[in-house]
Amino acid sequence: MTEALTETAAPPAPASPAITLEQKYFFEANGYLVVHDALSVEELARIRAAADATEALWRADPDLAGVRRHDLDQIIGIMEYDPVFVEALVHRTVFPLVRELLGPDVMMLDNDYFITPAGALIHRGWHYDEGFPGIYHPRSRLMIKVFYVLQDVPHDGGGTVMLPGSHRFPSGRPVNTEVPEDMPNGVRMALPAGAAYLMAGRTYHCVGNNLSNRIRRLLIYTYGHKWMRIWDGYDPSPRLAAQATTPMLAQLLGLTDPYGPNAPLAPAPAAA
Amino acid sequence: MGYLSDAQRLFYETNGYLMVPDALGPAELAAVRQAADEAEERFRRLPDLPGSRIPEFLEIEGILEHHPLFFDLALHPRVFPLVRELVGPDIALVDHAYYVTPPGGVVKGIAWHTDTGHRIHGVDLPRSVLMMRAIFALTDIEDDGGATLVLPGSHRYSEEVAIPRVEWPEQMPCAVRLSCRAGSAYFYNGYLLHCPGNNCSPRGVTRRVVLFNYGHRWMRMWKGHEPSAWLAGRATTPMRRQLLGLCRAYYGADAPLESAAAS
Repeated sequence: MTEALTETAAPPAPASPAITLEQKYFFEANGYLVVHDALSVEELARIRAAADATEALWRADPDLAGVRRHDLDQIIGIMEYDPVFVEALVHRTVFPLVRELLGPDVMMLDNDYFITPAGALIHRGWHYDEGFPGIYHPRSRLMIKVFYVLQDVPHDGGGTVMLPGSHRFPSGRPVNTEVPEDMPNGVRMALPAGAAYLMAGRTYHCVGNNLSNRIRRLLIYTYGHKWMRIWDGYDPSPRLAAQATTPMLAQLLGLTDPYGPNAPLAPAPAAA
Repeated sequence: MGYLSDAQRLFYETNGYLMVPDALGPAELAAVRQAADEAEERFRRLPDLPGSRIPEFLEIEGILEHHPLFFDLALHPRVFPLVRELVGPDIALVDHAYYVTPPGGVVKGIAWHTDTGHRIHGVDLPRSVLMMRAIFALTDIEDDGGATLVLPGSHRYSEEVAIPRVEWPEQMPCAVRLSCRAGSAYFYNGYLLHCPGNNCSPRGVTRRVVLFNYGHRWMRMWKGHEPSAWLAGRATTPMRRQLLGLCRAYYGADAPLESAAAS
């Protein structure tokens, strides 16, 4: 008897309002996704103004948390500085993509502002963000990182370099090239201000060499799941926690039951 | 050197659970049982203590809060190294409890479940070890004495595998009853399908078990299991601090196994 191949053709899934099929398939295939013009001109201006003010404050006070190196300034916990960065955490076009790709139990793991000066060089910096014991990473998704570009990143401006599809690579570390841009098939995130890009935590990536004359400015949020602990040093202060005015914000800030019900994407409208 | 024998390792990988007969010696069992009896007495006397009080069973949540001996049990040298080898060196506790199940309660077939359930998104559970539950039997548990039922190998099931609906837990095809002597321990992958059995013990034996659910140090504890100051004060070694989540979640080295025993 010949066994018939009975592969049932699944009906085409309707695209969720939050993500198009094109976006979903691109992310699933490549492990990253670019969202052009994610920020409106007005949003970009507001965020950039808040970022500039925060940078000035942070530079004036060396006790504020961060990394201060010749090739990188990293303002840790950027959401602590201005409510506009809390708004960006749940940005109307980008956050729904993250939730669709990660799951309804989405939570913030860390949040930073990265300032990379012109001339910053990276050597053998390719890495995964995820690599936990016990987890089969090629088919898991514990983290998604979102980068908002606050200043144009030219082709040689140090944009993140990604290796498309590497989030599905079997366990083990791929090659680590001396020069980030020498990675075969690497894709540079050279994007105009206002763009955003998403990256799976298991996508192999590297900071690029900034050979341009421009500073690279990125607002970065890492999302995980609410049953995960927030990254060391990013637990929200009481002042930040007080800004969790919706169930989703409370979940994102780790203020809800880790294994309980998930917050809806948007709060239910108030009864008339 | 691995702590699991080849036979243990292959049995676990195939079935998703492992029995450790006589994990506790008679003196250890007696001491744990006495601590458990004291916890039960206190739990019955103080209704504000967290847990479940229903005719079918008592669940004393956060058993580590009740007696220092339970912290030692969570690190028992005949069980913990085996669990750690399967979970990973970043092992930590997610929850812990003491269950008292008298005869006569009714458990329906709908109670079959996994511990990861539908709560966990983003992890390829059939190929991962996110959680491992270890159970120490403080009484003899016979086949009809409420023994945990497991569906061997189901920790590898994809979502496409249909699970039959049964009226009674014991009717699940291919299920195995984890009956054992007092002092034995067993552990199973959090993604393994399992169910409490009905306690129909003809000798009227109440089933008494201590449960530890292990995960990873970058996972949050079950709500209500965050350690009290009293318990945190007993985390006197790196491994004990890691088990209670009193360490960095992502940075730094994992606690060495050797620090488990010293207290």
